[in-house]
Amino acid sequence: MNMQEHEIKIYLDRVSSYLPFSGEQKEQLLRELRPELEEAIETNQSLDKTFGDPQMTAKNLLKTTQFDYEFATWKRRITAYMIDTGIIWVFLLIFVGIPLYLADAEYDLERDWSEFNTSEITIMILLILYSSSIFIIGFSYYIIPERLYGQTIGKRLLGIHVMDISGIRIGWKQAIVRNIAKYNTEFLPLEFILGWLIRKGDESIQKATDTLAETRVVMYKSEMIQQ
Amino acid sequence: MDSIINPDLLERWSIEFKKGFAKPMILLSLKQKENYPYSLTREINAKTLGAINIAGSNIYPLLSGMKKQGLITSTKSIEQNRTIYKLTESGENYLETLQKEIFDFLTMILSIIQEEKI
Repeated sequence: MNMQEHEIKIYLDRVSSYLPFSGEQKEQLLRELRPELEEAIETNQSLDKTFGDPQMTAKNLLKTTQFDYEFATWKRRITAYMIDTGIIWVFLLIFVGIPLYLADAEYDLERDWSEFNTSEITIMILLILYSSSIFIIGFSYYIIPERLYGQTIGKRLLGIHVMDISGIRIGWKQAIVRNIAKYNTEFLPLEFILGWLIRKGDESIQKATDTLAETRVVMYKSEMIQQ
Repeated sequence: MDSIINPDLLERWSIEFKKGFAKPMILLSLKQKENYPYSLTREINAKTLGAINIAGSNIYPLLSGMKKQGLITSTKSIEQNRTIYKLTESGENYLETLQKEIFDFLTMILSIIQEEKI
């Protein structure tokens, strides 16, 4: 594969990562985009410069299609959230909670620090670092799948998707912003209340962080049709 | 005391009023020959000496909109796996009226500008 082919492939992959729906549905759009990119790359400038940012290209391509969606109901969103929370807690229990419990049983972690030997201190430091990953794991569980697939496991089970207001998949920054309050679940009710206050009169009741991130949580009602 | 004008202001205004000519230029180009989306952007860029520069993918929603309005039509070229656009008969009639409209408007604007210069 020469350099130009490689650049085209990378660009197509980046556009594809923003298009919603399955690979099959967006295949036609990408197949038609390829010869356009092959022509654009002959100018010897980067495709980002001649064709535009892949995220913008995905938005523009999506404007040539049609698909129906409706905003996800509160019930579906809360149910999906409870499923996701359950999954995270089971994971943390198995991989963090139980090891910590066993370590406590083994080393009696409530002893005075002066009573620990070097290897025990090392193990404790490792455990502290390990349990600090709770935050990263919990956060990543939402951010990574929502960016890559528009869905967490809970959302997939309930048939709902996160999307940008233009309809494309969300970017990394949007995934982080819309999930920032999940760091402390006590913020969630406040998020919904604030979201309702901001969008009062709007049929789409979204969390405040959804409004901030310009994202929507929806259910697709139809396949994507090229116009 | 004269206020300092933002140096970017002219560029922004320039982009704004030139944007309005993108769709007429697309129709004018397609009147001469049918074409593919990216080739259209290059042709318009070359004809206007860069004054109207439609970024690659920005042309897609414009073409989609004009197709919905019945001004242009598209066919898929199976060999090249590309979509080619051309003007419809309604599009040609519409363009004729539009050209006159643009000509009259620009003539009026130019006469105002020339009056100011005298």
